[in-house]
Amino acid sequence: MSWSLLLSLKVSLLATLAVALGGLAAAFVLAGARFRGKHLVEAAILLPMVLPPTVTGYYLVMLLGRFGVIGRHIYGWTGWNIMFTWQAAVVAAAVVSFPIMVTTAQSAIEAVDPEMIDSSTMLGYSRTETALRVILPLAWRGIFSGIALAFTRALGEFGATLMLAGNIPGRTDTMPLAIYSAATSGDWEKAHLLVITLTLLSVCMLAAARGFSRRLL
Amino acid sequence: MSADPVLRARIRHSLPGFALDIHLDLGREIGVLFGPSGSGKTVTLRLLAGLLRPYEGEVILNGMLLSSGASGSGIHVPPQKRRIGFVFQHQALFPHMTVLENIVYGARGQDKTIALAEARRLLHEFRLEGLESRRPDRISGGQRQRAALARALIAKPELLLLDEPFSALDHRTRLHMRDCLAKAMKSLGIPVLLVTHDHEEAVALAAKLFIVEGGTLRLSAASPELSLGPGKQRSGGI
Repeated sequence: MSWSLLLSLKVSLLATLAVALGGLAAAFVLAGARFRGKHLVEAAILLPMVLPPTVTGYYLVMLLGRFGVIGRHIYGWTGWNIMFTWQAAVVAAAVVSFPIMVTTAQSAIEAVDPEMIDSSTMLGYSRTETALRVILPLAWRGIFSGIALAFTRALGEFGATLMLAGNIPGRTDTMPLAIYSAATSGDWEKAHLLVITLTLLSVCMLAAARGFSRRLL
Repeated sequence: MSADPVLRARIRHSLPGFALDIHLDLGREIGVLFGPSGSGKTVTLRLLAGLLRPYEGEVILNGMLLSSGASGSGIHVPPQKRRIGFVFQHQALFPHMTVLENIVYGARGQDKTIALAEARRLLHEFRLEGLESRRPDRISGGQRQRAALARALIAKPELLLLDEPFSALDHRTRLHMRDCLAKAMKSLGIPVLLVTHDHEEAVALAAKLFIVEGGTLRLSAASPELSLGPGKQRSGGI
């Protein structure tokens, strides 16, 4: 139980860190940019939100597996493959929580009054300076809401993790996978405990996300 | 007016259902762009500021070419490099900064001590003393506009654009703001272009009046009284 909890927290925290940085950058680019095919890029980013997690996991295996598009090169150079490692659980959690972070942060950035941005521009500030000094301070609640939601989604990730990291006890069995194993093996006491812990954690994170976004309005 | 205008603009621009054709020369004086809502006044300011790129034409400020040629080619100096002050209709003071921080924000690249001293001088000039540490939502509309004006001026612009800056203020505050602006302009010596659809404001402030209707500059006059005589005192009647 404590192993799965600690593993889930480690995996979710690392995934959220990557998603917060990458998602924020993507949100800034998408919020400020007008380019041909923008809808397609946005659709591609949103895809893991609507695809069954097993399908997302399948794509990840095709990409990062030992014979995958990227995975075979990594294996060729290092002799190491990510599959069935805890790092794979981080990748799976990051991929499925990325769209939540991007959409929430993008909405928060787009909610900043364009006149604020134009004012900063007319005072001589570049786009990056304006992003750091005006947009980020005004959109931070929405961005934090996105981070909290991404963490919650990462914490609950099951399907893609199972496909890429497997369900190896003491190695890749995050809380959702440990719950599945406990329930299928009839260890209901352990399953109950894990379910309650995961639910409480998720409620806390969702409440935090709601708190941030409400103050945004 | 002096022989050579400080600001010279020949702009053609098209927006959906809208064609803009503006010829505008302005010296170190207050010019007023006057016309009904939707006539293209704000778009004109945004084109001069570089926030929009004109389809055709050129903008020259103090002999420097800021925009020229057709869209997609030619010169387009980005807005942050134009040294043009812009006060927006809704003030656009940054809500996460105090009044003083907002004003000092305008002094980009200036020495901090000098910027702070200049900010305090502007606070005094615009009667904002005592409000330095207040957030924009804790001061009145007139105070916010004065702070926005101070923030634009601390950047030492070569041209000041004001987009209906007093439209949301009550009559008394508007009169006071006009005085403030007229006083500040005397010491600045830069061209100021102000957008309004208020006849009284246009007459009170304009050294040069530009009447815009349906995207076209219909009239420019050095004497506003001539162009806005009795019976023509509302923009809709022009």
